[in-house]
Amino acid sequence: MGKSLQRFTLLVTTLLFLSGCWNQVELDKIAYVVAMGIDKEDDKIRITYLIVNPEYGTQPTGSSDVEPFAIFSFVADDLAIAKNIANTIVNKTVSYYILNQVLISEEIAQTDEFIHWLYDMTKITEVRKDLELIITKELAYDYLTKFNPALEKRPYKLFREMIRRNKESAFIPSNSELFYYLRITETDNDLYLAVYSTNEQDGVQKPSGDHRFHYDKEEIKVKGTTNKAQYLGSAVFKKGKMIGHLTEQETILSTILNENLRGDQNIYKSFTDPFNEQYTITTKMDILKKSSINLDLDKTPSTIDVEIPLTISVLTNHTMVDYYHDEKKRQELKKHIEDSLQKEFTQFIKRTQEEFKGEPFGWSLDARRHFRTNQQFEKFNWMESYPKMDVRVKVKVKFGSFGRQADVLDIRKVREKE
Amino acid sequence: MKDRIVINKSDKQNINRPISPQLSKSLEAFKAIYSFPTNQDIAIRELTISSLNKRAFLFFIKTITDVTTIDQDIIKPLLKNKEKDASIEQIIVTPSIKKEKLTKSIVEKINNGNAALFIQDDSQAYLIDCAKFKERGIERSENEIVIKGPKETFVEGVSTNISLIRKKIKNENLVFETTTISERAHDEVFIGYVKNLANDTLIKEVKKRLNKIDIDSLQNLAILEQYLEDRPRSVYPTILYTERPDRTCTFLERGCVVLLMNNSADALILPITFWDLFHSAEDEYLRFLNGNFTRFIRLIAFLITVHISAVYIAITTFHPEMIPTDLLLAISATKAKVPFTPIIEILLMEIAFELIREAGLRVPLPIGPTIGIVGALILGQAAVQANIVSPIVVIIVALGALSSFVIGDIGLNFSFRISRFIFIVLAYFFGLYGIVAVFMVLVIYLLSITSFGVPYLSPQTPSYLGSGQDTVHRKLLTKRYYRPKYFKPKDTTRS
Amino acid sequence: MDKANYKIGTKEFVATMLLIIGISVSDDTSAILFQTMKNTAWMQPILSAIIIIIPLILLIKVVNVYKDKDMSEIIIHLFGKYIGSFTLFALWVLLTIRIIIESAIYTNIIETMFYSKTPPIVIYIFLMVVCGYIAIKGAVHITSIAWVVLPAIKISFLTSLLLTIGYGNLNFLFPILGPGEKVIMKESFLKASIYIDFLFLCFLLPYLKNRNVFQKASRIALPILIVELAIAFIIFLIFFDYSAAKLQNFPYHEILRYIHVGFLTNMESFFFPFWLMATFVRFSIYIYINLHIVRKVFKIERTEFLMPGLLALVILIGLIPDSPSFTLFNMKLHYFNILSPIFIVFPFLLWIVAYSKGDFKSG
Repeated sequence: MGKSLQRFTLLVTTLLFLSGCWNQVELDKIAYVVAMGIDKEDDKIRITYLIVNPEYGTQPTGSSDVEPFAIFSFVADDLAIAKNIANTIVNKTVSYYILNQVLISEEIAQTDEFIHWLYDMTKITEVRKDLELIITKELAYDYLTKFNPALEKRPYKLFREMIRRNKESAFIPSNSELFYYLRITETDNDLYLAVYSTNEQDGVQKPSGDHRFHYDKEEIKVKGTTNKAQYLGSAVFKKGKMIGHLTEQETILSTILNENLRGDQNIYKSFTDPFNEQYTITTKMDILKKSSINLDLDKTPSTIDVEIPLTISVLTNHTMVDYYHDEKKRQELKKHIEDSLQKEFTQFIKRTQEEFKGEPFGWSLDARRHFRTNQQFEKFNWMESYPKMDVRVKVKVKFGSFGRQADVLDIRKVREKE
Repeated sequence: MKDRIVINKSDKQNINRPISPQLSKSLEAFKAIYSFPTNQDIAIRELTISSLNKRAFLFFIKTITDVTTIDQDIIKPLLKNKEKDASIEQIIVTPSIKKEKLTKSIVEKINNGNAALFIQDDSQAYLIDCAKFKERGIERSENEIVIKGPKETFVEGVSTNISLIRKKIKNENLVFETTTISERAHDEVFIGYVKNLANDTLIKEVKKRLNKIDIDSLQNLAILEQYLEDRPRSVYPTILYTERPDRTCTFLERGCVVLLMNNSADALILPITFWDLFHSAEDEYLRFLNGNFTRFIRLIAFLITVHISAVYIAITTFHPEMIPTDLLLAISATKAKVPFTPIIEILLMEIAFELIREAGLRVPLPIGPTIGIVGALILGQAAVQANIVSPIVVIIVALGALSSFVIGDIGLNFSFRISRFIFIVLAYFFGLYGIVAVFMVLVIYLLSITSFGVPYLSPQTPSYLGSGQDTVHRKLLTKRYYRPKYFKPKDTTRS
Repeated sequence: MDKANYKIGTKEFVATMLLIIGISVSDDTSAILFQTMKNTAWMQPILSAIIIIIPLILLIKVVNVYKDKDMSEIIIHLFGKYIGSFTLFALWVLLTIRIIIESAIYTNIIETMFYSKTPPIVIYIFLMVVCGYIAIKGAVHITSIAWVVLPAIKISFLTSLLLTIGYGNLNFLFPILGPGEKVIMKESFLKASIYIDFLFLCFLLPYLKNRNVFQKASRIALPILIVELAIAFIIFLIFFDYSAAKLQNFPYHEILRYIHVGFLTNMESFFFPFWLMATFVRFSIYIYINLHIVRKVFKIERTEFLMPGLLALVILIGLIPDSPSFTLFNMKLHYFNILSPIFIVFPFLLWIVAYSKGDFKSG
């Protein structure tokens, strides 16, 4: 190539550079949104941002006049234009780099339009699909404005840890991310569970049934200087719209029934003591083996036989029964637990069949194996067929450990001496 | 750079003539050529050889000859000789005597430390080699340091250097040719190679290029390197410049060619590949795992030094989502206080580090440590506290600068430092896209250059069977049977 | 161009094949397959490979018979001067269209995923200029650089796939026959042009060490590619489920936006450089082959002067489509469908003509 041609190309290329750099960001001019709240307000939506202050905690002298976060709220047409409108009140450019929670008020989740609003999320490039969708009992705006954690002032850490921890104990559903919402809604065979949360003083609504095993705030009677937000239970979505709510006990059951969930759960559940109605036994349940779900779709009605193997570690023993030496007592306990669980499961499944008319356990995926082509599967229409199915649950309990010290003292002997 | 000084026409005529047999005439001629007695270090010893009944004079330059030798081996025997028919060669007891007729060659030889003996009625002069140029003693290597291995370096005298090489390669096939390069200063370049290993085409090519050089005077090998190389404007060197004899010998035994010169305490080795520059001699001296470990660290250092500043700019301006949340907020907080954009910060720090580096090289020894402390203080603590740069930039640039020291070869060192700036500029404009683009362009450029016909990135690509794949990692020494074939040696087996 | 003093070896050629065909997992090829073949998309690489194996063998046979001719000379020898030149010209047009569509799609990927505010023309020009510079260096060097960067790219690809473990569900592959056998067979036939780069790579024959290199390289590369593509598609399906998968434009990049390792949340920028390297190699070799065909058809010696012209053509046409996500997707779909029969039939034609000329007996 001629010298002059080379020089010309170089010049032109340099001009290209001089025209500016479009995608650049300046890190200190960004407002980092950690949580976003969506409420309905007339025809539009009210968006609330929880924006973190990076300078909090970086002062060497630990001055406390720096706010850890700030809340901004405004009304917008939709999520896409929200960022632009936000900048009328937020002084830095809003960006979603560390956004990992979206709080949606129950009110808007129960509308038919909700799915339209939510799909805007998929169009925003910055949004990651592992966003947590959290349905709040009250307005998201109220939730966020009352957000005042005591120990942990950095919101992103707080959110992440609380959610992770509660997923471990199965109080909230594990596959609750935006990704799952989109997938389950699109395949339209199962129900989707979102995390349910509230920041109100009086906690989540009361369920029916045995109150003793309900961990709602009211029951726990939370006191002290602490964050009032509580993550408990799940919101049930069908075809993209919220249709109901599960308590945390039901969420635990649905987690056990869903064999697709990753098994890093630490589930604790209490039962009444078979030997003394006054006491309860707390157990830790491990799902070490996969449950087997046998579908027989040729019969009418089709049957589902679910067999759930659980390894149970018995952690409390207030009646001080001698399980260590007495085989019969252990068998009795085992049968009692199995029966209680089976009753709970059957009740719960009936609820899903009658009230929700769908299942949140991902059983349609097992059903898929029974069909050869997509057309056959679609003809079967899992969502319609499920409520008519005959579901039988069998629980097989195997005992694990009985705590660090398995044997307990013989209380009768001790009490005798009095 | 051609400084041609006009030579007096009459001088030129004189120089090409043969000497006159008449002693007085030749004495006058030589006195004129050497500006005697203005030139203080010329010595002329007139003597009469009684046995032959002839007059003679001895002409030499005091400062570059060994006066004792002249005294003992030339003057004494001449004066004390009793035999009537002895020839000069039989009287003088030095190892080498040559005879020359032309003034030009005699002048050349006197300039090289010979003593010239002119005898009455003899049209030839006898030149006796008694050169003694002062030179340094053999010292430890300062620039290419190894912990395990020989520590000698070359000095400025060619004979010492050749002796160091011959100390290792005691082979009759090791040949050292010479060619004279420059007109005025008559610089000689010594070409060394092992006759039955080095490729003939290569040797011919080297000689051809040396002969094409048309300059007045050649200072040392560093300048010669710039005349010889394939691509003078390239960022990456194609000739190796080393001060260690052991490295030189390794390359000689592969079939490479070595160039030596007086006044150069180094050797030039060609042809070489990128990997030869990248490896240090110590990789082979260390044990298998240790050597590979060092190589691995060097590879990481190479990647860090070239990329780290650029990657920092790319990530913080174009891809902030990559940064873990805590770090992102921390950077954001510290950046709020700094008035500059990341690229200005980085460029400031890079230039400051380069300044420190250059200053550190040139600073006189007594003040050395002070400068180091001042530099560290200024750039580290004070700059951060004055909010001129953010602390993370200091870490990044310091890490990059430190890693560049891991690459031992000075030519490659500069290449990486310069490449780093190209990466930084393109990272600023296009982020990671720009960095990858520059990287690809760089690699394809390296692939396309050759060093005297050897592809620069051998043996990674064009693969030669049996080259041992001595690129990033190396093999056990016992498993290497073949010489690297890309030098096209004549004998490819090592055993 | 082509100043190297050595030839392409098997290693480099295999690397080239793996990079330019293997990279189609990361663009919208998978999205196209998910749309039609739904949850059986993973069968396509395997079945298409079975379909094209015979054409490929015939192609290799023909090429091996004429050991001293390169591809364009073979075509002219077999089809005569006029039809042969026309065939070469047609191949050139097909290749140019392919470059335009693919480069527009890749620019779109870069733009939507990473550089949303930059005008596409800038991204496009930068991509083409860099690829043009690499292409000028010659086929030998491009394949060498493919070999140099191959390990890094494949390791990063493997890592990204490994990180998806635990996120998906194997049941998404069922019902096993998906949309039905008829659809599967039809689509495998129509999308066999996934492997068409084998045909275009034949034009690099004069730069290979010897003819066997092509055969050996194909034998090594094809199984690896089949496995790689099939497993990648399986992983996409396991991750997304077909109804969600067909909604994504670029499934691979969507996966990258989802996975995370401990504290590193957004990893797509980490895998981006490696994908870019493969992209550069791919377009460089396309451009090089393009200019090579131009050299043979139009008998121009120093084709590197045509480089700016070719690049400008590609960029200008590539920027024409109005809404790139949809238009390019459909264009590529139809282009694949047209290209596949050509790819399957062409080697047959070559072989039949060569056989009837009796060159197999004397060769």
